[in-house]
Amino acid sequence: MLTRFANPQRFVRLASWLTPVLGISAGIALALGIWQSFASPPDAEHGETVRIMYVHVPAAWSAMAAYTGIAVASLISFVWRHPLADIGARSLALPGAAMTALSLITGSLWGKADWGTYWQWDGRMTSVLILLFIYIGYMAIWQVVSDRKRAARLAAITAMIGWINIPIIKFSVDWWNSLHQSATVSSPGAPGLAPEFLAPLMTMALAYTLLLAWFVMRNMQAEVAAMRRARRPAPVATATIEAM
Amino acid sequence: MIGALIKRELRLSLRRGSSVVLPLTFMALFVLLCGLALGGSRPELGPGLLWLAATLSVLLGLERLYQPDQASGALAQLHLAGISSVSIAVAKACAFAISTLLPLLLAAPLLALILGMSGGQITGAMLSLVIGGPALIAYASVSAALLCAQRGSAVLSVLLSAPLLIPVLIFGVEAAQSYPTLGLGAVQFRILAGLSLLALALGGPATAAAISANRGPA
Repeated sequence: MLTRFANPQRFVRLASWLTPVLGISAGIALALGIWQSFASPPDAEHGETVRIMYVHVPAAWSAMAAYTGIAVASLISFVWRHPLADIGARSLALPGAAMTALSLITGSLWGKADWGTYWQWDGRMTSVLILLFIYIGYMAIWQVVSDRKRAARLAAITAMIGWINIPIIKFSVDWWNSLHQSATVSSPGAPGLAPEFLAPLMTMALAYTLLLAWFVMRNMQAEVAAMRRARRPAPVATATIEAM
Repeated sequence: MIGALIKRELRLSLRRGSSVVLPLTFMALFVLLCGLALGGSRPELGPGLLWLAATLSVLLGLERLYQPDQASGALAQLHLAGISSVSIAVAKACAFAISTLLPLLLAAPLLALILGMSGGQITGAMLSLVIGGPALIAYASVSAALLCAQRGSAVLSVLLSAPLLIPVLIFGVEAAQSYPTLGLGAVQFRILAGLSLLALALGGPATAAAISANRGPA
């Protein structure tokens, strides 16, 4: 699998059909998810604000998934110097940061409606804010370091160290007393979510995942195309050499 | 070998002079400004202010850590002399701790008196700084090594290390505050020690990898 996609040509062939499929299915899942979110009944305890959850929870999930993806791709890029891995890691950064910002914004709106405060200095909220700063720092390394190969290695080191924040986010609600509710969907033995709330949540989670994958594939295609273009000699220069 | 490197670093920073005096002056001024802005003696804010002052002084010194040696080619010479990047990272971190953190620790009790802190609070703040200090140094040295080849990247290296320092800052302040009632057995001290060990385990290899990645022509 790793060596198979060491050849960018294979990746380009795969991306040419996979990217549109991902984009279209993301659109369909998103439309279905939004319809489901408004068709579902309001919650007995939280009222209409429960609909914020359908935007907030998948955003937080995909923000963490995107960062984990960056860390894994960085490891592959660092150890095997895989040419596509650092492009993949770089492509995940901007959508991941956007998802983090979205989950922070929707989370604070939920907090105002439900807890009476936009922000609380507890483990979950603080660690997600730290994640946003780690994303910004990671993208800044790519911006600042001009040499591409060096930037890839330095960014990979940054991404792998920053990953220690992900388990902190995951377990922050168990480690600290928080206003934020603890894991409801994933923990075994938890009361879980009623099916009428779970269905839109799962559709939205699928839609976010497809959307993230589509963003990444589009960005990787663009990066590969840009690299090829940079490698091709400028037509004017060749003409002068031939003339001489 | 590491001992010789540490000696070299300390001699250089003593001859520069500013690298010992500057963080000290900065920390004293910072506490003074905070005391004035927040309205005189505020012992309850003391541990937080001391931790903030220590963190900011470490971040202030980031640029001096690797950039001069990278620019002058000293890092490349050490590599050619057969010294591993890990030894360089360990020596630099030790020397940075001795030249930056140690003077701050010595000055901290005096600054704590300005803020009106009691004996127990001062001891707590000192102990938490000693236990959490390695984490500050480890993360600072990673981000300094990552960007040592970039000129004028001081702000960016602060941006890189600050998110990693936030958990250390949180538990450092909590440990200092819990010392007067719970002593060294407080759970915050154990978490702080754990954070420091984790930072050392991650920071050493990552700094060495960053030094190696920055070697050679850009």
